[in-house]
Amino acid sequence: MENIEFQLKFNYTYDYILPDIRIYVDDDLKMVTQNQEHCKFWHECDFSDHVLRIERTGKTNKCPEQTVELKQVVVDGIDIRNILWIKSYNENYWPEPWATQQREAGKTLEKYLEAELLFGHNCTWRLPFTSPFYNYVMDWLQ
Amino acid sequence: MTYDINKVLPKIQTVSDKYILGLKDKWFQDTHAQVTWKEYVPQAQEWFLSSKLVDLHGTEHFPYVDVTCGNTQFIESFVLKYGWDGFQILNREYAYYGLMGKHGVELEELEPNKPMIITLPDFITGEIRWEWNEILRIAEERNINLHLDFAWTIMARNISIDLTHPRIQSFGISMSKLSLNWNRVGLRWSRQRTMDGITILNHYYKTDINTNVFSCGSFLMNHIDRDYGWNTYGALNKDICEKLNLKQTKFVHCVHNPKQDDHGLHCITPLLVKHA
Repeated sequence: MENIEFQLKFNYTYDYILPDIRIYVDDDLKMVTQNQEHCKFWHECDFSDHVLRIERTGKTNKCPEQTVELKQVVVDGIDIRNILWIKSYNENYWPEPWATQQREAGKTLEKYLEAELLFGHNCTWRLPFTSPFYNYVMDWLQ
Repeated sequence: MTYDINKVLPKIQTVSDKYILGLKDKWFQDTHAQVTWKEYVPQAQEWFLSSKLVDLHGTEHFPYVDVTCGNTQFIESFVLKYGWDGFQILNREYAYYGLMGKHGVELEELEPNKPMIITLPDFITGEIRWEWNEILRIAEERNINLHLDFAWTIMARNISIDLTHPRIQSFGISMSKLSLNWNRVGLRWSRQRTMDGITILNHYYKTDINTNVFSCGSFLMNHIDRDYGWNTYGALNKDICEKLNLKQTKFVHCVHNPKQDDHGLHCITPLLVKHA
């Protein structure tokens, strides 16, 4: 078991309706935020598989443009930018009727996008990792 | 026996005696078996913690043990992790930091959430810092993680430290202060292993990590008693202090001279070596 510090940095753009962000490690809800640029929390991880998960909601068809960008993730003091670019993925919830229109036009909408850190619409972003975290980083390098 | 007070010096020297120098010659002249990293770790752990004069209570809370090339690496790995401005030290710390422009603060100035490295015993008084309990209280209040540099415990006695305090995150011990700077070896114990230079070194290179250095460390441990300093020079230290009206400290080679106003440590190494 290890107690790990997570630091996440976001950038938001919106007109007047804020996007909602919920951050989880596995099934533990760690933070709920709307406009907080820097988020910091600790989580006790047993030495096994885990998932850092961000649920981005709040975008409806009536809501003007809004985006959330995940700018940085620091875990256990390590900026894991390169790991995000390879290991993270985003589950998209394409809006209707836009999604149907795209499909009818012959376009394929991918449900999962790797390394997507700019959340234009509602989505669930995930980063699977293992604990001990230092070991995960070193195994990733190998 | 009479002793020359002029040989009590303000500059501290390690005890480089015939026996220790002889081991150095023996290491370079003879052939020796290779000692792997895997063999060195348990031997060194047992050796460092086997002192009858220094009681480190609660080492079982530090299950992650890494090899180091002495406590300088323990310090540098810590600094590499947190950055030069990312950690703090107290006033009257080991000169290493001051030489590079890092200055200490008083207790009340300690910043919250900023890790701190502390040398114990400190090298100004030769004692555990008088404010140790206060340090622990403040560390708890302000969430300051503590990393303990025990390099000098190798020459010390009458030390008992409770390591169970949850803010104590790691500690390092090394053989170097036994006048073994020519082969710096040590260990670092961590409550929770985190990424830094020592972790990387131990992870990637453990199959053949500094085998020469650790083989020599093992050789030295086989030939030097953990409490060598006090067991060899304790009686002489006492006699020198009595005859010259000096005050004993926790270090076998350092004393206080009540006639001096500086309250700092003074070195009796030349007398120990000459009269042994």
